[in-house]
Amino acid sequence: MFLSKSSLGKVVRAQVRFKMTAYMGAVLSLIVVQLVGLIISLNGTGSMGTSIDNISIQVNIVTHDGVFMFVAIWALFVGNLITTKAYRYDDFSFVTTRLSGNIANIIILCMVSVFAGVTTFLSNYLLRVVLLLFGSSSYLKSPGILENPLSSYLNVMVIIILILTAASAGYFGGMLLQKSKVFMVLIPAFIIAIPVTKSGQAFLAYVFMENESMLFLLVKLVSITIILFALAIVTSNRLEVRA
Amino acid sequence: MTVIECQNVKKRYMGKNALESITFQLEDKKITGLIGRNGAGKTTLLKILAGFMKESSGEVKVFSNNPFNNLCVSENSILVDDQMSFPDTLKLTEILMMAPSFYPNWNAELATGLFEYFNLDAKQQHSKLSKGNQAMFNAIFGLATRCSLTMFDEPTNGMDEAVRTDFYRALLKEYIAYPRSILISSHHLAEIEHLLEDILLIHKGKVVFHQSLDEVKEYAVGIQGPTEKVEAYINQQEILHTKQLNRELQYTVVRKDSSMKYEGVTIQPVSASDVCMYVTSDTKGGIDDVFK
Repeated sequence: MFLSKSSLGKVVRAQVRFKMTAYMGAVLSLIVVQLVGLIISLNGTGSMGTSIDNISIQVNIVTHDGVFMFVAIWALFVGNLITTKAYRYDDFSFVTTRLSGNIANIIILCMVSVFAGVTTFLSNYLLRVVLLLFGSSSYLKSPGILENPLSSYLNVMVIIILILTAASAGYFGGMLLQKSKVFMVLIPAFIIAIPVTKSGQAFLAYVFMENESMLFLLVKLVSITIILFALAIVTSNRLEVRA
Repeated sequence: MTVIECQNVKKRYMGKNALESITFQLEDKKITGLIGRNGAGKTTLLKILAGFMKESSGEVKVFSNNPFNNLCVSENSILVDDQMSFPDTLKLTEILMMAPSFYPNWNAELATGLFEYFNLDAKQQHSKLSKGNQAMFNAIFGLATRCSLTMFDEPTNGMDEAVRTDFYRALLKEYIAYPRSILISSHHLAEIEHLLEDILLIHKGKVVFHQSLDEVKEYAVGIQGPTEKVEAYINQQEILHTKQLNRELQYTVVRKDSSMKYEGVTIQPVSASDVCMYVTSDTKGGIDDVFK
């Protein structure tokens, strides 16, 4: 009897190619999410006004933070979505192990995060164009890639990694839910516990505030993401299929 | 070469023992029927063999590997059942095009040939197919993978009579063209009998017997005749089934013992399907016992 033997790498490659077509729907939903974020962002996040004699100055601060928030939440849901039965069972109609399926999912989430991160960063420019064409402002000023390339690249990186962190959190949470329905209660409790407990606050401050530069933030977020993915792999390694 | 080796396999599932103690070996390149009643543990056993579920205890080996999380087993085996799922973002033809990158022995010619013969709609999504067409598509997929171990769990559920006959014929032709180990489960033995070489009968999570079809046909005999004569013959043998035909005539099925000489009664062969039914029934008189 002749048995064919593929390496893990070869199977993961085939799975990634399969998932790229199969998960197209999730990527398409990203565009809708970004558009909603954009519309909300148009209002601006803050404004201040002053007037001297009969000249009045109104400053509106408009950011694409709204877009980013929406995309981060979207990433959380996409991470969660691909752990659901329908998606996991699809893998098992083809060649897979739980490990190869997980690796392929992580690669897909990375690719999707890069795509989402870059487009979210660029939505800033779309926002500017829309405001120029349809807004009432007479003058628009904002930093661009050409003015400060290094910081812009770092910005894109941070956006990508933040989206990936959200996706990995969704992915790990989803796997826990697949493991046991108890986590339906535990996960929301945990999420509420972070901002209201001392240690939770300390953790948030450590990750997001005590950074000497953006690079520190990046390293911390990447570590958290790796830990979350590793935990997801361990959690799901004994999940049963079509049970 | 041994394809499957199960040693005392147990599986607890939903608080019950779905498999009590399964021990058997499956040799290479045979079509084996996995026969059992509802809830006998056929599906659970197949899912363990496919690596979908993990055995609670005992030893399972498929191609000398434990199937759970094993790439080699996943690549060389497939389980076709009605729970097979494919993403809705892919059309049926796209699924078939995706398969060769996973299964190196994929037979695209067969897949498209069968696909067209059964008039499946190329642009359709898998979940939108009717139950019968879905079963057919899964079966086509399973046959075309040409996996060394191909398992079917009630493959004809939902198929109509004509499609069933066609499927069995396709299965047999594919098996002859490219011999492989096929394990096909059914609770309807008579329908698949003509395909099978071996029968693996399980009941309440245990293997009752694993024999060739010919042996199963010789497993028991039916004795029919006047009640007192029949009873005289059967008192030292294990009764598998008994039925009072009328006031004088009794029909009883016992294990075949070629040394026995019967006189004054008629001896009838018992079909493989009936053997499996009698061996796995809890009462000796069948449904009649309820109405006594």
